[in-house]
Amino acid sequence: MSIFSKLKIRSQDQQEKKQKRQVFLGEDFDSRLEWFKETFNQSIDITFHELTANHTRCGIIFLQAMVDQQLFDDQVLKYIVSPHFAESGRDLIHKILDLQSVSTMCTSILTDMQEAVDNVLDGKVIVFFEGDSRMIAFPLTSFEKRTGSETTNENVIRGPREAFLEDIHTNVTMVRRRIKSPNLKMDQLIIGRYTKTKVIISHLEGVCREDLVEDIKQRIGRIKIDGVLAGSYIEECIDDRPLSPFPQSQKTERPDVAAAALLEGRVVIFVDGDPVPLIAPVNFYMFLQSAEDYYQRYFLTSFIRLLRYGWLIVSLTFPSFYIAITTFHPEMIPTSLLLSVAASRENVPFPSIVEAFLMEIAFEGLREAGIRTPKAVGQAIGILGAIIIGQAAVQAGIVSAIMVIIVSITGIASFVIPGYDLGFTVRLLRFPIMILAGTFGIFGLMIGTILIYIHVVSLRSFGLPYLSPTAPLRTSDLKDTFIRVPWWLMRTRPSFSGSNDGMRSNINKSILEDDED
Amino acid sequence: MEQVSQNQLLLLFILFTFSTLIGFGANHLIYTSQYDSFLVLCISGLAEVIFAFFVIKLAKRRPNKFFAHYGKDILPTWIHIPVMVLYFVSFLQISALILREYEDFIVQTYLPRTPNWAVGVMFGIVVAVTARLGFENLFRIAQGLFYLCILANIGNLALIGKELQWNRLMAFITNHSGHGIYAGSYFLIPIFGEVLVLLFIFPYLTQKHKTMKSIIWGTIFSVLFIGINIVWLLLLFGPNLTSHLTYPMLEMIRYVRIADFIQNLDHLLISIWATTVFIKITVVFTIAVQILTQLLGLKDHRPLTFSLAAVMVALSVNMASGSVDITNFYTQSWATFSYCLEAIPLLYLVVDTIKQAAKKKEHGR
Amino acid sequence: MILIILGFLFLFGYEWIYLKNKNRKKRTYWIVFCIMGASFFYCISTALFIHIPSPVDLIQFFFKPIQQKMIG
Repeated sequence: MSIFSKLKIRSQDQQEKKQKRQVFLGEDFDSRLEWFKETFNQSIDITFHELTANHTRCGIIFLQAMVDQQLFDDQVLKYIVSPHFAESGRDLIHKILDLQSVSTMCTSILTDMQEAVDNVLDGKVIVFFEGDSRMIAFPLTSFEKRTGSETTNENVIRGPREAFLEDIHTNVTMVRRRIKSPNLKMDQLIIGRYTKTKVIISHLEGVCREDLVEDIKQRIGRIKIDGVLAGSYIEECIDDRPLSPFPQSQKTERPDVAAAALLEGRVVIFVDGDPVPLIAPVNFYMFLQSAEDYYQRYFLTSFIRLLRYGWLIVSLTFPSFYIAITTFHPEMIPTSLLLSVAASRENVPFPSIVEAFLMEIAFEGLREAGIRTPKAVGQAIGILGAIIIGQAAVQAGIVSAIMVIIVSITGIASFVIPGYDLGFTVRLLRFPIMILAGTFGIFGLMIGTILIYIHVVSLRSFGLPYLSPTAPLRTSDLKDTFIRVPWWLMRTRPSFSGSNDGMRSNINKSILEDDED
Repeated sequence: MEQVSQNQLLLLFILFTFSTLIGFGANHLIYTSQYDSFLVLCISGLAEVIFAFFVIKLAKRRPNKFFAHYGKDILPTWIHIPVMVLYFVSFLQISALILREYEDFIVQTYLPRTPNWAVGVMFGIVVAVTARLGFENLFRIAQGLFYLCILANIGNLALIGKELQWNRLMAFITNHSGHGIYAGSYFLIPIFGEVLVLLFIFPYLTQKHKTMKSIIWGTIFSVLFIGINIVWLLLLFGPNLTSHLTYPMLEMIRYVRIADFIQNLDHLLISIWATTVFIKITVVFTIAVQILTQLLGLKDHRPLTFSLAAVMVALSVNMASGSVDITNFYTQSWATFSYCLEAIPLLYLVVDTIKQAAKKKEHGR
Repeated sequence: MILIILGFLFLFGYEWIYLKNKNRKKRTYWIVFCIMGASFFYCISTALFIHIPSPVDLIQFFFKPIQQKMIG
């Protein structure tokens, strides 16, 4: 059976299920109440309330901890029970359900019981009356959430410090506050059979390619999963090449980065409950850019960026290079250096590849232990690692001092990369290259690097080639890749954005401007 | 299908001629034509452009079809199929030959205790993986590597500058030999004639009308790059020493010294140069795979790559008993064989032209 | 020898999964695995016997005399 026909059958199944799920119980009050109680049995946090107003029975259902009860009392309940509000039961129902003359906004009228259940679980108050099949939902959601936080992972010296939170609506507002344009579009999808997680896909109309948005919506819409608790669930489902070690979408905790991505014509995907939205598409070079790059002066930024590329290469190849040189090509290094290397390796019983592996794995272990342990213990781990591995192991002759230096430099190098995902990938790819270098010397190192290069070149992130400004070459995009030119020279938007109708910036500034006259 | 830009084509062709000629062909070229080598390069470049003109002329008639498919319309099937099989075997053979040269080089200079097949298998895996990705990615890979290789080469040439003996420059004007030019060109033209691969990648190109321009620029640049390297070799070692060195380029790189601290950069530069060899092998190998795919009428070349890469590696190991055999083959019969291969498209072109003319006459009546 | 067999076993599995995922025709399976088989036997025989005639010998036999005459 072809994939397409399978998909077709699946979507038919879903439609049937959807139709089956709808429940209509008519006007009978008791049967509806019974149905709700049965649906919500063994749920202590659901409140059922029954009352009689104007000789009409009405039922109220809500999730206790997710509703602002004070507000409900003031805005709704007070009117319903007041004898002045309506003259009769019929009038009461008419005023509330037909005219919606209550002081709450965004109420909705439902008839499907299942939909009412979904609304209750979403934090709304459902009110229904005897003698009318319709129900009304009041959005009075209010729950405890974390407030006001600062960035913890993507720190900057100059620039905003605000960070996203868990609540999706707060996050969306943070971006909306930065881009005050009706062209900023937000589409919502509900993903997760049980979690019913809100996923908001936002893009800037006119700047972002429409087919890209459609593609992303389709890919997310196709996800069938029990629960979505964070953005990574979605990320892994929509990747172009799910088996690749390279990250194919960017993550950020900074609203300014998300806004910048939108302005470049990229798509930001918010997931409820996750303070780290996804940004797509992405290319390799974006992982080597940090928010700070745009807040510092351009020449400083350009220097730091070039520095990062250097450290990236160091991080990937330095230990392998050392292994290759010491095992196969000692003639490559100057004699004096060779002698000191040989002297430090004299007492070490292992070949350099084993030594390097031991140290690298010890380093990875230390790093992981440092992250997972409580802060107070974390410091102790650092000291232990530094003293025991850095000092005692060398003195005991298990590893050479040069190896300790190399592993530390490589470790630092991998943390210079701003994109945490990419840094991790590079750290992982180091190991196979080390094995290759240990068996074939520089030749093996070259083979390993070419293999990685081939893989990266063939990767695509949502249709955008992963190495895109360099291979294939887009000269106009190079101004924000290896270096960053000043803002007044960034006239056009990146070429992957939807339209280059207008200029990105239009500042008349001559390089030879003379202020002294 | 059109995914390869003209810029990518240009860069690839520079790498394509640069890689093996500099690495493996330089000593033989200098051996046969001494100080006339640069002249021979120019002649071969010219021959390449002329040959490319005819190849493009043939390819342009059916711009979006593959040669293996439309060849049947020109020559009868019973001739066309054997010709395509010949091409398949030859391209596989050429890729294996380059691979073998590379294996010998690596084993002789860097990894004396490693067997040939181990190097071959490693390289074969990379080639197969790349071939599996198809031409679009292959050209992109070449685009990225190009700048690296050219930068490394230019840096190398600049650093060697002070070691050159400039008084030898006079010999480029005074020393000529008619036979040297003839024999050198006879050897070199088929190497440049590998522009033949254009016939097989033509359907992948964008802006097909600009192809000729790209080829001309590509030829000019590659003649320039190779020429400078050859001239440098001659100025550094002189013709006699160069022709007796197995890998003169390697010896030249070993001359590089930066501030008496970094002495042996050759490993690094050689590994960069090796990437160009990798590109060449992959292009030739991918064409072989695609010819077989098209002959068998498959839609997808991917499942065949690893099997054929295994054949390529085995062939490269089995090809000859030692590097002397390879050198002999390379210098004694390879050129003539290439001429035959490269003459085939011309035959197709002639037959096609005659057929079209005949058709026109019939229409005219 | 063992390496070749292991390598080809891996290759066989890999291509089988690939072809299966892509829902290819039976003919494709036949072609792919016939070529793979031929490749396997060639590799095995190069490993077992020291010298098997290769295209190089053939080309040398035909073209060496011609080239010698051409260059003189």
